[in-house]
Amino acid sequence: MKKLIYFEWLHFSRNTARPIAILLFLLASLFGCYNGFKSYQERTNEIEAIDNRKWETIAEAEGWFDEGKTGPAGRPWVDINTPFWSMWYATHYLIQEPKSIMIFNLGQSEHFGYYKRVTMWTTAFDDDLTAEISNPELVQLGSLDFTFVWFYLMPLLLIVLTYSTKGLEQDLGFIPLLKVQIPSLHIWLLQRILTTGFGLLILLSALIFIPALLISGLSFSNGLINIWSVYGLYLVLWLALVYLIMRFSKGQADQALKMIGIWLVFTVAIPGLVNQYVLLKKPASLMMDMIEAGREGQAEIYDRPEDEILIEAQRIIPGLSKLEAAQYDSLMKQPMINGAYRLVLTEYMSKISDAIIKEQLARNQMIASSYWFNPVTGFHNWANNLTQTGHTSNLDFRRNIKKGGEALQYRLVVDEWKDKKVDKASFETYVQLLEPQKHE
Amino acid sequence: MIRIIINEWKGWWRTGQFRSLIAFLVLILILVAYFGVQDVKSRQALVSQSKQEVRKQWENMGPSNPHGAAHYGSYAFKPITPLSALDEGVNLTAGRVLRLEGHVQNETTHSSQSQSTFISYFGPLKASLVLQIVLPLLIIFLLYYSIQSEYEQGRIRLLMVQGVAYSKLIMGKVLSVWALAFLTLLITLTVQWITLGQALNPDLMLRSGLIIAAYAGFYWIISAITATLCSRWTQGASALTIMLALWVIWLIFLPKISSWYVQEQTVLPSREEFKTAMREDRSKGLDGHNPTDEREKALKDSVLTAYGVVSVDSLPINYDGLVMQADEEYGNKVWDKHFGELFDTMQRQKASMQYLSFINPFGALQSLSMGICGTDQWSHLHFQQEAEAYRRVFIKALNDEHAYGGSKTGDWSWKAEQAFFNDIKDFHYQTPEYAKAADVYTTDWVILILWLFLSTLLLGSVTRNTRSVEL
Repeated sequence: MKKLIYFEWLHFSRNTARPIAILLFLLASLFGCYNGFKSYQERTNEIEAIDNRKWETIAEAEGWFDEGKTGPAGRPWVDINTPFWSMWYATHYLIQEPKSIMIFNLGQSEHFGYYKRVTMWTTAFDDDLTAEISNPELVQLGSLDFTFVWFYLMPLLLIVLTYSTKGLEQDLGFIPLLKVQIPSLHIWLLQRILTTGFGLLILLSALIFIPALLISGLSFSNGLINIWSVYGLYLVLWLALVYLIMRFSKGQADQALKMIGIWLVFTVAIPGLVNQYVLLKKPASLMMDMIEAGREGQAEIYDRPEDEILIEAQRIIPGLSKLEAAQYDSLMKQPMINGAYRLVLTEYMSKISDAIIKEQLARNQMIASSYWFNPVTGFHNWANNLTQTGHTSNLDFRRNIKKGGEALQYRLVVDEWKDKKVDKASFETYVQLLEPQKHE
Repeated sequence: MIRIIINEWKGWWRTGQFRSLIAFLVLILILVAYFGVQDVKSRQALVSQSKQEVRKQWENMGPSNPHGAAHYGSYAFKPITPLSALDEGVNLTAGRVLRLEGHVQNETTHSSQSQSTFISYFGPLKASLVLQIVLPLLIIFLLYYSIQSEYEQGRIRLLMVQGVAYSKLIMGKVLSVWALAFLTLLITLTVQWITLGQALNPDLMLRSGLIIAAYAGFYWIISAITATLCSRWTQGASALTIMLALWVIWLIFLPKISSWYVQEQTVLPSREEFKTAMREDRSKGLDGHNPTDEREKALKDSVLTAYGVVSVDSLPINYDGLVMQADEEYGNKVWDKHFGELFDTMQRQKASMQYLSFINPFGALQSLSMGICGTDQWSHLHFQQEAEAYRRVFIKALNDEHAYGGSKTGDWSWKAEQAFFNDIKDFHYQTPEYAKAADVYTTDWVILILWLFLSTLLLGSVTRNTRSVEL
């Protein structure tokens, strides 16, 4: 074994291209980690800024209670003592906190929003739940994160390191000589590949665990081992592919061509083909369901007679009819009626959001069904799930937002039907409504 | 020269592996072109259907308050250009739906890539992907094999003895590979046009011609550099290794590094910063719902003076409509400032990316390909700007109706007839002709031509200086 490693080292060090390739790869990996760390920090800072602004707004509203005011100057229609305006100024945000291991995988994070102000009208697919401002041309190029380096450049590095293994011996006509000297050519080849693989595994471990030790807050409990395992298994996949190519190749150039070909097939052609197939079979929506719901659907609800809506509202919140102030009679107050309409609308929009989520999940299912022949995409999404930077966690976030909006609406309607007058203490409870539902 | 080319082609054709490879490549390109066109057609139909649906809703809204209608709003859907079948550009990363409403200028939302899990780093398998990534690789391998085999089999000495000039031989080989790539490009585009079934108007013809020119130019650069390296390093696989390294650096590595560098140098604001800055600027102006605002006071005084009355209640018009329009106009100034700066920053980023193509001609090709196909950032911003221009006319029509349609100040229950809403024209977006955007891509063309010139010069100097003794 010692001898094998020694000869592999000689083979590696005598060719200047290989150390250079390793060095470039190392630099790219470190750069990828830095990029991930920067993105993680930017998100953390932005979340902190949003949180500060939120508490400033809340503090201002609390001041109105202390000063006996009903709202901001110049807005006489605002009455902070009513549940509606109080809930509005309680300023709720839901945030998808970034996981620290996103340093190793930015995934699809550039495509999604990670914070949202939640109000009584919030749906899971509001226009303001959108990604950070970015240049679409640069986003389209993709970011150089650690995943890119490992999933796309590592196989190329492996090609550089191994294209001459056995190929060189074939070109020089040493294979018959080798067969005399070694018990099995296949085992010899396997040993050489595994030596290179072992070296890359050490490199991977160093690239993941050293930054983890250096960056505070990143601990082993944060799924570090899991992400290391994903990258490790990916390396095994490529080692197997490279081994198969070597077994059936004739010379260095033939080996290089086949390896590059396999790289193109697995990283460009198959994912691209699946992408095209998904676009054709399940094209991305223009959100027409949401648009229709927000226009025609909403208009239809507001056109319905009050008594129908009041019955609907009591079906949605069964206890509503038992509230003392909500006894259905001619004295029913306008906010209660408005609340009932809003409640019915919330339930309707919730169903529309669920349908869109279901549609997107079906698209994801279609993509997942390709993993057996499309492993690069499979590994990518596996990593995205672990670091919560993919579409699945975005859908969870959207579901949370939807639930948050519903929770605000339900609480508001109940308080409106109680004919509640909001004081500072009640306002504080409004403020706390969505706090426990924060992510991670 | 022609004889060398024909000989090369004949030689390849006799190789079974080559025939299979070319057949496979052509088949892939035909399939990719066909499916690309089907995809474009289905998405064009979806956009058209959604547009009609939104308009139908508008026309069936019934009598409504104009301000209510401004909140009801409209939607602009980014159209899919026919050449998207060739190069998708930013179509999948940028939003495609733009809400047009009162009080606010929105951005496009709901991009395709935000609606599913990750699929592909390089996007769908469009013709551009094969033409930009796979075909250059094929050129490298073919030329390497072609030149290297002459050395390995010792034919080169024989040819020299027979009086064939080395430079002529290499040029013939370069031309034969380049012509093959060029032919593949033509086949792809022809299949695209046949399956697209769209009449070739002058603009599309110009775009097609430019696409051919840009790709053909890039293939020449790749061919010339490969041949130069193969002539310089005639032993072993050094030339191939260097060329493959260059392929990785140009096509995979540098675009990302350049993108990172540009984003570091020209920073875009965060969404929250952007919104806050606009909110702050906006708050200095009129608020359509804020009767105590100072600007409104000035407006009020001027309107009352103009009509010779003492209170807004005595006005023969609905003063609220004027307030809202004044607010819109102030808002437009705010949007123009902030969105203007934002779009400028994005264009500066694009320009920086273009300059960085001096070290990477692939960047120039990529930019040109997207630009010519009308799927680049400039086209995306153009759509947003046109939609915003429409929004302003649209909202003004509604505010004017609110003000002068027959209602009185404070009467929010007043409704305009459906006929009025139907008279407001729908948003029709026409993709600008290439000539209008040509300036944007000048740098890319210059860089590509410069590389074309340099690579040819390099090839010429190396082949001229390579004497038979070195062979």
